[in-house]
Amino acid sequence: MSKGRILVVDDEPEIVESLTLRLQAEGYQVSAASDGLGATRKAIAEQPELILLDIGMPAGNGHVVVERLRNIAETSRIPVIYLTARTSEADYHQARAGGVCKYITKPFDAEVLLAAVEGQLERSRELA
Amino acid sequence: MTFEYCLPDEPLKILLVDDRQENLDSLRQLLARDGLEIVLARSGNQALDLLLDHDFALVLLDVQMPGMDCFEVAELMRRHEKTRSVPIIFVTAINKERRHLRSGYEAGAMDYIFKPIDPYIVRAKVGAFLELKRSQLAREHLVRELNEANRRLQEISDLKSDYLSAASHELRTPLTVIKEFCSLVHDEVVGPINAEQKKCLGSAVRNCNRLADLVNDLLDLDSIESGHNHLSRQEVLLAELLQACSEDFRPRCEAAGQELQVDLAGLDGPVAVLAAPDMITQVVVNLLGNAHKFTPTGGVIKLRARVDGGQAWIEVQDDGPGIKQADRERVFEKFAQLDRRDGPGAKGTGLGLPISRKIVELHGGQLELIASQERGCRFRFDVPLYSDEAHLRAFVADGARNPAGVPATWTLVLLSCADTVAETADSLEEDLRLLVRGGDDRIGQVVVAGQPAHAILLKTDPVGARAFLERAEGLLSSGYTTDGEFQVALLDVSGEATDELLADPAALIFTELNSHDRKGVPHV
Repeated sequence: MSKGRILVVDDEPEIVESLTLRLQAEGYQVSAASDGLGATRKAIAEQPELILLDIGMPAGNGHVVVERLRNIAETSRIPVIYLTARTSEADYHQARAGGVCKYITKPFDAEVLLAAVEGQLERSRELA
Repeated sequence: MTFEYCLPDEPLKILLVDDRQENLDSLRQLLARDGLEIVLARSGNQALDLLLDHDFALVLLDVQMPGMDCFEVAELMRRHEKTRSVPIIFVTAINKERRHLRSGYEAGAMDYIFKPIDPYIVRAKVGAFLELKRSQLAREHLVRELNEANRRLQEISDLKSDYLSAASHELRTPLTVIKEFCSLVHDEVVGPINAEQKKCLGSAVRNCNRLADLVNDLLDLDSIESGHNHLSRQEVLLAELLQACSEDFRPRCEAAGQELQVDLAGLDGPVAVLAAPDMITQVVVNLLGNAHKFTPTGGVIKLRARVDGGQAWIEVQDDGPGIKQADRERVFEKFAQLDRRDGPGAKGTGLGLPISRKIVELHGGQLELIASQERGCRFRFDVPLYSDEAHLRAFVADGARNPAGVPATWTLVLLSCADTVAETADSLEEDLRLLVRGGDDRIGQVVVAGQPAHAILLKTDPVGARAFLERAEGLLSSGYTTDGEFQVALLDVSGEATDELLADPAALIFTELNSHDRKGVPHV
């Protein structure tokens, strides 16, 4: 019985790998995508409870992906946590404005990430 | 004696005006010189036409012409922007009565030449004005070159910042991978490890963090130095900011057996400063962090604040080995390695103090390491106290500094504000280039003009603020647009109506002072 279903999206396969290891060890069920297109497809097909999303990906960066998901009924309510290597203001504010719940810079602290994931899942389950 | 006209590369032009051709011809012959172009006009009207088409260094104007007289010509020249500053010499045979001369000067003549013409005198006077023109041209040329050089420098600086930004992005990705995999093994997610192995990996992870901090600091410092950072100052309650910093920090100190003393007695009552809260927090945290690093177990770290003059002074005193007199300034250098033995806490990036100093300077203060009788180091910086006038100044200055989307010309609408603020606005008129005073009737001008505009409401009543917003919204929705941005900043609007106003749909078009994420409006 998993603690929750998470979709991890990052164009760096090693980051996906390390995140998967970490989250699975915590008891989450993890699925992955490496670009915006794949992320959208998997989100619709699998209905994860949370998406960990890298902003700076080719083929539709994170913001665009989120907007697309928000416009589709089945995926509009899936919470998203942004992962980014960029700390520019614009990215930060855009992340906030898109109704995104949390924003984590790379390299991150595993504890910080796990706490954010847990917090986010708790909140969205309460609201459901 | 011959006079050498010092002529620049470009030929200078002078205009001779006389209704008699023979006068023009003889004058022209007298003044002819290489590199000097002499243009003739037979009447005031003709002269004015020519003046609008050419850039003359000087006009020689005959006083006794039929039709438009010389006073009229001079007057018309004064009125026109392009011809206002062209020097005029009246050429006259009439009596040299003082009265006559004076009215000539009042009309705008800079000098007189008397007939019959003395060639020596004419050449000398013309030569003098040409010399003036030449140096004016040289100065203008220099200014153009300087502007171009500045533009190129700014371009290079922007390129450097872009490069740093891209490089840091590339650095962070492998850093993330290294840190995560080391972490995974360290946390025994992929299998058990022994204590030795744990220690090794712990060290690896710590240094990944150090590297990440370094990348962040490099970006930070570059951003501040190149003027790309977003500076947006507002009213900040100092005591609260300092309390927050110290409370966040306390656990770390306690874990290291250090005592953190916070002394805010010097702040008599609630003290507000004009600052960007995140940035000042960064400075305080940096100073506390250094103090924490260099204070031994059982030592004391003191955070003090007081008001003196127009500033608030904040001090962080630590209990460590201190810094030699000779090194007191070097401590602010980038990556300075000074002889201080580390206490608890990891090594820093070497950029903390340079960044802090820059931040304080941006706020108009100074960060210094001051000599003290006690052992250890005492760092002190100051921040200006809050006032509406200072806020208005900062708003304009920060707006002028901030990149992208900030108009070069500001339009300022002042509505029902305090006198002192009005005075400040007056003194800012140069920076503002255009200052509009008055009430709602000026809003139309501001919005319709098609130029970027900022309107600022200062300390006004909520009713006035609402009326302004309604009027502006009406104008904007009825099809008037601006090419640039139209923003209204509400500065300290009194009364509870503030929140209500800001929640108003009309206010969505506008942005509150210092906030940035309104739709369609690039922030200031």
